[in-house]
Amino acid sequence: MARNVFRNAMERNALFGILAVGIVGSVVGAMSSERFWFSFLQNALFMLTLALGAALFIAFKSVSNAGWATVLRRVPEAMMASVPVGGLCLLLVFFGRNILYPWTNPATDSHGPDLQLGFKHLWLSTPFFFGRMAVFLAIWCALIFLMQRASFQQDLDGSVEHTRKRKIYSSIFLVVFAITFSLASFDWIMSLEPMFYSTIFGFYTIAGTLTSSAAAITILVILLKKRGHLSAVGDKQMHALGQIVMGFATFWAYMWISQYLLIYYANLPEETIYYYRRTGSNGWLTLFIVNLFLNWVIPFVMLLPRQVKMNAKWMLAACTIVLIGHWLDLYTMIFPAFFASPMIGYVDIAVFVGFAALFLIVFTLNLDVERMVPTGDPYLEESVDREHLETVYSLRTGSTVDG
Amino acid sequence: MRATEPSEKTVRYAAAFFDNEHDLMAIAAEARLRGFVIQDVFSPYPIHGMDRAVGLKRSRLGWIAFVAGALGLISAILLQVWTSAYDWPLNVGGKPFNSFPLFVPVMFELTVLFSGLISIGVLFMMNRLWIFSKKKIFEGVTDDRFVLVLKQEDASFDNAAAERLFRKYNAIKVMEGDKFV
Repeated sequence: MARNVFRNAMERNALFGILAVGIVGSVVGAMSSERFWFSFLQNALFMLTLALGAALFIAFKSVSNAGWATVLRRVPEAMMASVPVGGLCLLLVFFGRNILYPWTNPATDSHGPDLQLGFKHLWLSTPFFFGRMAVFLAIWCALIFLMQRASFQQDLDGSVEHTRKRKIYSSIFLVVFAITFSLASFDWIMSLEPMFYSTIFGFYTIAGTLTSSAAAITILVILLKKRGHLSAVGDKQMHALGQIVMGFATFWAYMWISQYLLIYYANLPEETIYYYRRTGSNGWLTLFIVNLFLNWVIPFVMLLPRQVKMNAKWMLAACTIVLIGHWLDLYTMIFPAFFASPMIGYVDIAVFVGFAALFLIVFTLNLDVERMVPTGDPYLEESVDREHLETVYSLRTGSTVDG
Repeated sequence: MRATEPSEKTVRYAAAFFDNEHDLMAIAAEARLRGFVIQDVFSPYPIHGMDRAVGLKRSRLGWIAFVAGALGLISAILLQVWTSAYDWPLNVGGKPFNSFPLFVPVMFELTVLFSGLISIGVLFMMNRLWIFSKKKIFEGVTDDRFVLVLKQEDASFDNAAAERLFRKYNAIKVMEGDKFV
């Protein structure tokens, strides 16, 4: 029987209540505020990138034969269940296309004739744009489903074949993802300003995805440990997660400066407009700098000492900062395209709260306490510290179903 | 993994060979508990938690790497500001002489370079692994043997107890000698 991590029914109802409040707030916002669709796009992307990053985490792990994370693998696996849900939400952007992507309506578009010619005209046509979106999401969902199925089947028969299968699906996913997600971020974010070019934009968003999802995995693992689950996760895993968050945060900073530097060097008007909008007014300039601090400077300095990576409180703080940073990163990618100064209204809060609750609901519904540890995985022994081996053996004999 | 610095050059030692890391880890912990002084342990690969089992102090190498990195960062800034703004200012594409974003790649590279090279160098010096160093290598220790070296400081070293301890953890071979350097 599926048993989820809620301590009691009240917790679950509270989460659904928050979701309901978020939805009501969003609907009210959709009717009254011009900011709604931007906020919706931002938070749907926030949810989707966390889920996709979890899938990347699993794929990296499978492809590199890494054993250490096997004991906590069900956490990113439950996170990636949000890809179909987040994807469906993102498809709703279709109804806000006239506000978000004015070029979908050439009659009223103010970008002039430049967009009506050549390749951009073909690429940014409404049916192709949303068709592409649906195809990308369908491919991701299919590969994630296959990865997840091979994982759960292994619990039942313990066959190594599933590990090999996961490796194949993961290899395909990594190659496909690198291409499709780059194109997707061009589509969903860069085309808000259709005259702006940046070829490194896809890598920049992938870096943000990796960092924030590693931070989210860490936070969820720590919270689950506090509830008495995942007791076999020890210092080794926490240390490795800390290294991953810190490493990817640095990768993000590398991509950030790479994009900034190339545009600064070349000094072409259609490229510099992106940074002009984000540093031109005091409000946006502040957020521009805060963004760099939240995503890299603070987590990097915080996570430098080894002991901090094994300290739950410090890790929670650092990872929360990274998550806020990723949210702000998306905010400063999306909003300055249309708004002269930053502000946060009730709409933004309602949409965020709604998506956060939705993400947590999907996560908890997909995290079965009985199957919290992948008992059929041959890497399980390698994954845990010696003092937890007994726990793992008992799980393995206790829950394996024969036949 | 160096547990203690070899201060006297004529210290006698007893080395026990094991064929897996778990025995080595366990015996290291128990030997310390029983009052033996661990000279060093050897293994073909790093073992998680071995530093704690041997009772190593926290390595100072991290601080050295940090200071070296900071030194690299400062030199990169000084080098670029001095050359491009003071010694020989050149107008490149209308950018200001002190255009900070352009300095970032070199700042990054020099930080990594200084930090990497200096910590590797210091690591070798701390472990006395310089060229021509005559460090004792036990047979099989780079392959599949795990070795614990106990210091036989003075007459108080209990040979019988050591023997029993070695046998308890399935030592394959025991070696004695002097001048462990």
